[in-house]
Amino acid sequence: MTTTNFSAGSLGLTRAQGTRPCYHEIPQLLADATESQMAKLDKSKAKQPDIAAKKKLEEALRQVEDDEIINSDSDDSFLADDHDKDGGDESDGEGSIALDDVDKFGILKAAGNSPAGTEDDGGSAYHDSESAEDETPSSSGTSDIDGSAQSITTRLSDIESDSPSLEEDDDNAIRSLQKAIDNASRKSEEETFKIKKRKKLGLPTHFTPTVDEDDGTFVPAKKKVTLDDIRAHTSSSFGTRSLARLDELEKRSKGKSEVVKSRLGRRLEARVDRAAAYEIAKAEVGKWEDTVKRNREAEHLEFPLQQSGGVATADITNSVDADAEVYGEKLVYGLEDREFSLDEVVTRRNELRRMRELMFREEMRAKRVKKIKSKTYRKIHKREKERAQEIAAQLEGEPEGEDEEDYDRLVKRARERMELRHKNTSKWARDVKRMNLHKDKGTREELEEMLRRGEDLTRKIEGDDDEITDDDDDDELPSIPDMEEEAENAKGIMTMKFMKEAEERLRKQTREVFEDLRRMEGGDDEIEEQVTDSAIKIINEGRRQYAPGGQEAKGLAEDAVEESNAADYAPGPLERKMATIVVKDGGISSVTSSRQKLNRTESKKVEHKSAEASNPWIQDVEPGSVAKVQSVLSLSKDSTRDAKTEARLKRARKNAEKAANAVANGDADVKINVNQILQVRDVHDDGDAGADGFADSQVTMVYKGGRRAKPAEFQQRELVKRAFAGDDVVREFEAEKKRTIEDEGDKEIDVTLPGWGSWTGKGVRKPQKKFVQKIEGISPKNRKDSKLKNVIINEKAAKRSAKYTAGTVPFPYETREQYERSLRMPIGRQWATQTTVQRLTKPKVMVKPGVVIEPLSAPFAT
Amino acid sequence: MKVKALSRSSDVYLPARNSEVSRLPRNLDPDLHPFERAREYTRALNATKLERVFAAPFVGQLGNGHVDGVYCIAKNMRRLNSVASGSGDGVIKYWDLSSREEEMSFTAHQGVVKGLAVTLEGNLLSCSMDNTVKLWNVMNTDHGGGPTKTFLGSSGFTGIDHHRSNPVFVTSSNAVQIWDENRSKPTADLSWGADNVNAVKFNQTEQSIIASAGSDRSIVIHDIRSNAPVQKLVMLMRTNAICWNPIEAFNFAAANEDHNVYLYDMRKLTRSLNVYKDHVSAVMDVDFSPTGQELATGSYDRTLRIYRVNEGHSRDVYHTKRMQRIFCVRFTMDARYIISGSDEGNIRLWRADAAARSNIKSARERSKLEYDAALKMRYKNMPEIRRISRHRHLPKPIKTASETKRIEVSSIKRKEDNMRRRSKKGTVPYPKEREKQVIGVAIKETENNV
Repeated sequence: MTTTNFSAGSLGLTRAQGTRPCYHEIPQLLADATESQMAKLDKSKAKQPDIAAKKKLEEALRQVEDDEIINSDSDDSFLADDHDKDGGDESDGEGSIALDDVDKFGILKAAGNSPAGTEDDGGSAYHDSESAEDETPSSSGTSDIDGSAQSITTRLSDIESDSPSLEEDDDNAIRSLQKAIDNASRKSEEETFKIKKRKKLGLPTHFTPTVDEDDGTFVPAKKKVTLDDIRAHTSSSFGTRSLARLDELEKRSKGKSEVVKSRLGRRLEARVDRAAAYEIAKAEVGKWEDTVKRNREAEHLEFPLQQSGGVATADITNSVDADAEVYGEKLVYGLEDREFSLDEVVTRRNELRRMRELMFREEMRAKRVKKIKSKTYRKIHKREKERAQEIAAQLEGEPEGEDEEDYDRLVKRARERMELRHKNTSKWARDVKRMNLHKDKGTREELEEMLRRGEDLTRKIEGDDDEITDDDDDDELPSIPDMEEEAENAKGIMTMKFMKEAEERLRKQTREVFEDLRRMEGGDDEIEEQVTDSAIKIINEGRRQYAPGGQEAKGLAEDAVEESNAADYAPGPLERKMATIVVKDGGISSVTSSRQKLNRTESKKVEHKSAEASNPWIQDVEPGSVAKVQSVLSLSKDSTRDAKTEARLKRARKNAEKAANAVANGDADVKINVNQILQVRDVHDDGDAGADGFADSQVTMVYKGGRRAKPAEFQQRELVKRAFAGDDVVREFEAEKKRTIEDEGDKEIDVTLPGWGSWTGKGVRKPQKKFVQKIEGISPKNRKDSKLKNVIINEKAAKRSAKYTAGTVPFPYETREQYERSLRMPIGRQWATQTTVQRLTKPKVMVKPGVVIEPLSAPFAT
Repeated sequence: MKVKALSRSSDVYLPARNSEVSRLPRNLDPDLHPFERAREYTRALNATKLERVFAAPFVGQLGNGHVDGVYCIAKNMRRLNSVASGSGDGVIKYWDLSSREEEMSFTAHQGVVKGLAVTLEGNLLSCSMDNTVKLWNVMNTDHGGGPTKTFLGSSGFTGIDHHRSNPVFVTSSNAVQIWDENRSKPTADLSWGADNVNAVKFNQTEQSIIASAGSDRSIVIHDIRSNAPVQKLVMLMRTNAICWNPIEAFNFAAANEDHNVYLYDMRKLTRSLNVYKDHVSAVMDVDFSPTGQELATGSYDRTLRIYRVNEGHSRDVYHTKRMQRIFCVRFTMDARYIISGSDEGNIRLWRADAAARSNIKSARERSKLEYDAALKMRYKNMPEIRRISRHRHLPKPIKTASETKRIEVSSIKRKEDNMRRRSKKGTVPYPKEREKQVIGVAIKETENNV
């Protein structure tokens, strides 16, 4: 870890040098300035408090150490490249100045001036400083070192933002760096001392002899003050920009042909600049996006949006209000050392007044309540209090409270069981019984209430048990053997036969449920197994209807079936009808169609067809595959028939097993299709021979009324036909159109009053004149839909209501319903409360009268 | 035995103060107030009718106007009631809106006064075709001494606008120039291409951005931070005036010669955000309401129209028998009035909302008006209400012109349709209404700033 940190530290330093090549123009820029001037510049810069510089450096180092950036090789190579380029460029003595770089000149100048900078060893920065130290003569080396040190400090600011890096041997680096810093600081101290001394003597401090960079000889101080002298006074913090400008000025004044090479043509460059400037401007303007969006989406805009002079007063008062409620006293304390406007003070005072008032009221209320002697009142209050506590405890979720509660309940329950207080055993209850008072409604209710209470109190254990089983459900299913064992261990009444039977039945049921659950838990393969070895399952095709199986229903169903027997082989609609009759008669536990006895050949054909035709309503089952099945049980009431059913079912199961085995053995001739496992077990079955006959593997539909099994596959067409049976849409439509035409056409109404204007009696002829009213309608020829066969156009459009209907759905709404919904609720005072009306009628834009609405201004705009 | 009697505290029904209207207890039971929709519809209808009855947009004219046509108006952005106007004969007048009287009048220029702007101190900058920009101290009424300062340009100035918070102004002539109030020469030249620049406007919100409209049918966005023009848009026809939205920093409206006003987002100039139609001649000036919700436009067709920002057609049109071509339109700073200057030399004051009155209203009246407004809003799509609220009497020339225009437009459309029908499918695209006026932009959109 430390190594990386150190290397990161060294990285910054290397960057100080490494970035320099980008600005290799600097030496050229300053080419005209004499070397001595440069040195002077450096030296004067060294006047800055170097202790501070050192501190800065150390701080930066620390920061870098904190950074956990691991250096990458690519960066390394990049830097090395830079170095190379640097060397090349310097030797060429060429460079161009991009205007953008101007800012950085100031920063980099120091680095550029230092002799270390001229070296191009590609090594580390401290190496730089070290070598600088070595090179420079001891008397005048200060300036150079300071220069390099400064370059380090100036570039250190970059370390934080940039993080490419260079791996170095770090310990050495750090050591030498520190050495350099120490040296620098010491010497700079010396220097400042010297300068102070000169100042004291009234000598010009910065015209001291300086050292030439190249040959290390002394150069006498100049008499004239040059730009560099001025520049020397400006601290680096003063602004790099101004320094850069100075450079430019200098350049111009020298009038020397400067190598400012524009890489592109003027126009092209301008275009690029514009594009960049446009991007910036866009970004700048884009900062308003959120504000604009918020304003657009705002329900109400109150202008002026901004109060001139910062935050709106309303905001201040609001915040004060909110705070006052929360902190109360504290705020008063906090307020003391702030100055407040009149408004704030007023609101504050009002707030306090209100709180005082509320407290006083509460006090008074407490006093009054305390005086109340009524027991009922107390009782009610106590209950309320308890309830509140309960709720509070629930909200807080205190486990202890719960425990306590449980304990209380437990105690109560135990007590109840001990004393049987809420049973019929109490004296009062007995009296009630004895005196036949329970005929009185009130007393009876009270008695019932008491018993209920008792029940409530004793019920606890059951509740707990429930909880436990609930928990277990999540984990595992209980095993059946356990339950059976339980049953065998039964004693007393449980040993009696009918109870045993009932138990048995229950157990069977449970087992089935259990199996189901198992199956659900297990995967598909298990299901397969289940299906193949048991024929109990029912698969039915088409619709199945369930209804409670009553005796009457059964009878009806049987009748229906008998009827269908008569029409045994009649195919098509008639049979369908039968089926529907059966369904309509209802009351049958499970009903399918009565086409069981359809001749086999036909059914086979149907099978083949169905295999081809895909039916959207029935899952297509390939022959040989096994269908998913569902158990449908209707429990019988008479258990005597159970045995028979069981036997039959066993047989059926065996058959199914056989079939399954056959499939498993790959017997090509045996095809198992859905029908063969489509079995309906019905415990109501009367078990006659016919039914038994069907219970073999060939005819697998076993159900009570159904002596005829329906082939599983319907043809799609047939199915659809059946679904829309009796829907003669076309004819209906035609009839409707005809009716509409008649309704809307010319009409003649005979308004002759019978008997009016005529004589009665024998031989009197009826008057010829008839009063007929003609109402002109639209003749069938003139109708808009006269040539449109499948359309009815309403000719009598309600002209009156047209006035109150929008022609199209208006803009923001997308559907008619939306628009109508927007009009549904009235907004007037008669239909809504005051606040609602105010809310609904508040205008979107409100403008404060007589006030200048200034354009928005950015909060930190210059 | 306790006798219970119905009693009600007088606090419930008596007003707390004398000035309050006594509260009437009312029952919100819907059975007592049936036919709510029908009743509200009727109320909305009545409100709409009343609005038309009370619509009186014209408040009056300022003083006696100018002798020559009024070609520019400047409002003081910090005050409500001071407005300056410049006319064709070089005279500038300063008006007090409260009294609608002239405060001062002086001959400022030799030529047409084309632009006026108010400085930070409230002084007036005027520019003219006589190649000068002059600074006038309007605080002191004596103008015998002439302008405080004169800035000389190389050609006639067509427009001027002042920076919102710095003593910097921008002028348009054959160039777009930035001036410092304290210097005699322009500090920067931001022109880009155009021989002549018609209008120039500072963005009041994002204060360093300028939009200018050139005679080469271009609109250029400049930035004084980078001291350069940054983006240029070229349209089919020339833009006469520009106005930035005061609450939406990046949107500006451009009044175009093609009878329309276009709303643009300066970040995406390839497509206008909205097109405001209805004028039947070139739009000469456009101004945003200080609320940023409405636009007022003055047109060469002698009408003034008001648009809601998010609608494409005007919500109102103002005209008078004697009003000629309108060259300048300004909202007042409280968004309640509109000032228009026209060719015949009058400066007219209009209500922004024709039926509104500015008197102090009781709470009851106010709530009634609010309720009416809400109802009108709700039922505005009902045919009858719509018809009544949209109906305006228009001068015959405008009526006929709009009819002619309609025919022209439909004929163009028909031709296009025919062409489309007869050429290969997809080769003749449907031009988008918001894009078809744009010929192109200088800096194309790149992927990264989409």
